[in-house]
Amino acid sequence: MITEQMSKKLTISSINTGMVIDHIPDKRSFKISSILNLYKYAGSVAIISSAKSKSMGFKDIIKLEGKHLDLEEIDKIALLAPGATINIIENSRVISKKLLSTPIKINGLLKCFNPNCITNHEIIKTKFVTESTNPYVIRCVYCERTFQDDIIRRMLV
Amino acid sequence: MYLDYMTLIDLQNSNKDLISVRDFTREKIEYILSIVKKIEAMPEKQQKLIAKGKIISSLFFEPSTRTKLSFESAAYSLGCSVIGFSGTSGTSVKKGETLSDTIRMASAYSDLIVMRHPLEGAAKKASEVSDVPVINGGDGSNQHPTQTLLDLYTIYKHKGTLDGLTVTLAGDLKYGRTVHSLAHALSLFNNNKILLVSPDILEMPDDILNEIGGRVTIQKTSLVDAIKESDILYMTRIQKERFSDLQEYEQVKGFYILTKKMLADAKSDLKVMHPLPRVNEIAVDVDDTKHAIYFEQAKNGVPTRMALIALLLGVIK
Repeated sequence: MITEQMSKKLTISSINTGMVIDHIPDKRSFKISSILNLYKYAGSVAIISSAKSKSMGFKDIIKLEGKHLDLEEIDKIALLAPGATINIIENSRVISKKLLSTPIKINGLLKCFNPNCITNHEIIKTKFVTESTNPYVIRCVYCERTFQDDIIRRMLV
Repeated sequence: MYLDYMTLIDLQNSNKDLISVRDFTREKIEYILSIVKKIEAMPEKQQKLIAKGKIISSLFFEPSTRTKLSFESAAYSLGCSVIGFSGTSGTSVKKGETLSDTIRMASAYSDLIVMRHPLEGAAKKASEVSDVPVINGGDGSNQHPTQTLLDLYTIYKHKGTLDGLTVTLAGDLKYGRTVHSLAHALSLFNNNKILLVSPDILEMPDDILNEIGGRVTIQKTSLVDAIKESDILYMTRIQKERFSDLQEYEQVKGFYILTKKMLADAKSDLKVMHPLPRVNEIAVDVDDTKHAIYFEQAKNGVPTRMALIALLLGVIK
């Protein structure tokens, strides 16, 4: 899938069927890969980091051959990389393109950062609601604490 | 006071619990306070018939004095019986029973649950598993909505309005859930001004200021300056243990102690409130002044909680 040409350009061939997650903020693809356990995936996975981008300066891209992520996985990516795009590829053609925005309700994806929250003491599915998108702020439905960007990324389970 | 039929429906049906000040609207608060007033005006004999035969679970997973006593007093005054515990020793909780299971059991044995719990969000979780209404009597440092309602009732009784007031919140504004909730509730009304008086390390958190900032005027000031323009002075305790540097505590503590002498410049109808217990932040010589209403404030906890129990039981309109 990856070939290094004489020109020292890194070229990654297109995929036949699967997903391309584009416009990921620079260097964040590694965290996405870890959260989605992509290392366990049997098919081809390409992680391109710090690719030049006109709009972002540098961006990351993940290509998944033969894999379609489920809604929960897409929500996790949206939390880590709001503004990323997901392209669904079939027969080497983009059949749909979706811009990821942060979910309004986030159920079961995050561990509350407040150690005194009931969800950290009993088996309870966590629930958060988005309070604002810029800056990105979410509120725990249980303990009512709010959390911002960096902390939210650390709360992903 | 404004009474809206939809608010009534909301209180009695879709919104069966009282968990957080964030669930309040101006209309809901006004409706609840109108019921408090109605109940307070009733003769005791009539009050006793309001919820006669109903059973209230009083589940205090951590100790409490005023909240527990006033809830139980409220329940008895409405003709209810009370079952429950205070502290978890001798209960199944000590054996490792989950909150959800304890609540399911209490929900089967009673018509309404009043609870206090050391963990934040416990009341919300309880409301999800309970078949009967749940009233939050305090969940960790998160919410204590019945305190806010009795505070509002006390202010309303003395000022005749909850609009256009200058309210000073003084003391520990960082950790004090009472002042957070009161600030939130005051922001639901019109033209209120909130003055904040606290040491730098105990300032009101930004997330609360951001949440209410667009709806109410907020200004930081000193206690001496605040006294001159306030309609309500809401004092809270500054706990010594909040300071890592005790010398800093010694330096600032004097600025947050209210004395009778300091009230010389106050408006004649300034009212001083405090959620209690008080330690030394209000000198005892303030007690006998016309400004002090903190003991009456604590007393208002009973009719306020009677109204809430009756409303959530659906036995009063």
